[in-house]
Amino acid sequence: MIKVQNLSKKFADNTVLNGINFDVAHGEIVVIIGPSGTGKSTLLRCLNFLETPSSGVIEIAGVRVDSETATAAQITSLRKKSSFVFQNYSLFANKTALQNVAESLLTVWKEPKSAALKHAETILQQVGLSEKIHQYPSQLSGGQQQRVGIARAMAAKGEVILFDEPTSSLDPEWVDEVLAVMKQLAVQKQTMIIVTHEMQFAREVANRVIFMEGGNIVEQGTPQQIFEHPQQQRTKEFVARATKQSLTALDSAML
Amino acid sequence: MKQQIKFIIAALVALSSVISLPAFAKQTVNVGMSGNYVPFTFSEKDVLQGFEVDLWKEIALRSDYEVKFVLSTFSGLFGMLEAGHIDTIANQITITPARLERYVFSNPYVIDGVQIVTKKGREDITTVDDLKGKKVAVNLGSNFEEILRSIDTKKEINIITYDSGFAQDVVLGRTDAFIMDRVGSAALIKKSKLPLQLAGQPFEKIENAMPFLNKPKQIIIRDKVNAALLSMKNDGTLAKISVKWLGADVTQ
Amino acid sequence: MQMPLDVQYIIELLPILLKYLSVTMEMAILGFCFAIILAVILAVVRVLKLPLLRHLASVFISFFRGTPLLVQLFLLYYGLPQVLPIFAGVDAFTAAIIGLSLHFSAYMAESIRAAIMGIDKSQMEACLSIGMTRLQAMRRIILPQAARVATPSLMNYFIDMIKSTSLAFTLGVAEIMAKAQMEASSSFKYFESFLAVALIYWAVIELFSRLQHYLEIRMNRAY
Repeated sequence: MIKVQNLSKKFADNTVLNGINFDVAHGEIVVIIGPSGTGKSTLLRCLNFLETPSSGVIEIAGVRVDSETATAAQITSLRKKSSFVFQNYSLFANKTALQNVAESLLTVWKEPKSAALKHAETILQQVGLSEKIHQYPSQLSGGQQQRVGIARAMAAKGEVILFDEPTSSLDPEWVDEVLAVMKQLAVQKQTMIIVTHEMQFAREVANRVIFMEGGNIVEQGTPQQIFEHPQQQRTKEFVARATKQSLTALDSAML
Repeated sequence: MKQQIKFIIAALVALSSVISLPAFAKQTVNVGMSGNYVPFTFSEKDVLQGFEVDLWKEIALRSDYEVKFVLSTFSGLFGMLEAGHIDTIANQITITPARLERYVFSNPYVIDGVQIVTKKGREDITTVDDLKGKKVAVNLGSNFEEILRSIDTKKEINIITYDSGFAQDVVLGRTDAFIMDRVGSAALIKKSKLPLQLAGQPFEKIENAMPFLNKPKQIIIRDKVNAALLSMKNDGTLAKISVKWLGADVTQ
Repeated sequence: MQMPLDVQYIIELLPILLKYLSVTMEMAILGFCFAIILAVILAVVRVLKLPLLRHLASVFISFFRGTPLLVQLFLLYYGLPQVLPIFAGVDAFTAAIIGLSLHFSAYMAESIRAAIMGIDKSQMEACLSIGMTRLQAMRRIILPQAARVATPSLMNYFIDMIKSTSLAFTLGVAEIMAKAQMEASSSFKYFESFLAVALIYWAVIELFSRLQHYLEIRMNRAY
């Protein structure tokens, strides 16, 4: 359903993505891990052209865009095939939670107002925010805001939801509620590509884990393969460090 | 349905043209003036009045025109004439060779002279020569400015242009004198009761008339104005208006 | 010779001037409405960097900020009819409104543009991510937020515009400044006449300053 061919991105002299190739099937849950600053977010942002690739072809659900010939209309079409969850939630500051979720239905899909709002309310119910639908983002906690962000992405009729470190900006107390929503989506077989540092989550939920470093895909496989039997040296080092960190965190939490 | 709409639109158009028919009966003539020139054109307690105003009301009556007075600063009047916003100017416009090259004039309706006005009690200025080395005020863009500059070949007079308020400044001492037409000056001194005086005899005769653009449509209006002026002269109306506002008959 | 202040004259003149206040305010309000519409277009064109249009917008802004309002009014009223005869039909009142709109839209466009650029980039990214075009994003999310930020500045320009209507008297518009000038010319009470009109401007602008203050308080209540 998703095909990425030869995706490269350069910022000035800095090559952040180095000819990436990978596919994602419908209903697949892909988690991308790796050291910070290694191009994971950039990769995600290239998939919906929030960053313009220096070269490469992106195809999502039949919409194919070559970065060298991309037109504005093509890019907008491509963006309609995916939705995005931001690290800093990026909710529309001048709209309530309900309006945030309904916005894509109203403006992009031109649905009638009452139907759109009803649909938005249902989704907010699913993420456990029925009581907060008329609140503005400034009145919500970080965790609540991110759940609205996910609800907005769910409503947007994309084939795939892209998560860019969805819990990295959250206080620890909110992380679980957001991960819970994402696990719900996983159960429903929503296609997702998730960039995250939450290794435990990756183990539990991912169908496939991709380890990236230095702008390249170093290794990919099932969670079992990557976490328990990593083949590449770099993968071994990273996984070892990452798991030790989360174990330590687990220890402190249990004290 | 389309037929009905067409019919309704046609009916409305016909109706509106009938309703506006009375407006076509009288042609509107736009007359520019400054509203700033006692006693020719001025506004008191929000009523526009003066010699030029009465003159034009009479002309309009006799020519079957609808007169509309358009006000502007004096220096803007010729601009408006050129741009076509007004048909003519009724503001004591003096006939000069330069203006004759560009415009066509009505027959002159005020015969006057150029006058120096100084602060009351001043005895050192009575002729144009006395103006050498002095500060003299003139209305911006007026022929008085032109006249003074043509006399002052050696540039010995300090000429200062004003849009308004030049009389006041002579009283305040900011300037030594101002130049204007004799009739207007006398009326101004009388009405304002400012401590001013006519200094010496008027030099240079001036004839005031109304300028029109040299275009066929405008010339037609000019000719009608001349006809009205002539009939007003013949039956004494012109003299009457002159005496009313200027204290004497300055129309011949 | 000292002239004592004729307070009686001022009191009698005020109602006459106030009769024409509606002309002044009409020019200011209509001018402001057109200016805002034009300013938003100019600002969006420049922020979105629309090809060709953005250059036209830059030239427009440069000219109308770079020349005095008085000159612009004269060009519109006296100059334009010479090249484009249809403009001879435009009366002074309309010409004044057009001039004020064009002049102030250039300044207001810059205020609005600054406000738009102050909105976090992530708002636009969120809009794009759900498939909105940039224009849709502007209309639904960015401009409403920018409006809050730009309001104090725009209100200031409105107040400026009220005062700038006084220049319309050079075109012959019968507004309060023209009236004051004409009455002064016939009564020779220059000080009293201009003091009276100054008082009127002052009162009106003070009123709008209060309104602006109230608006700012309301707008500062966060979403």
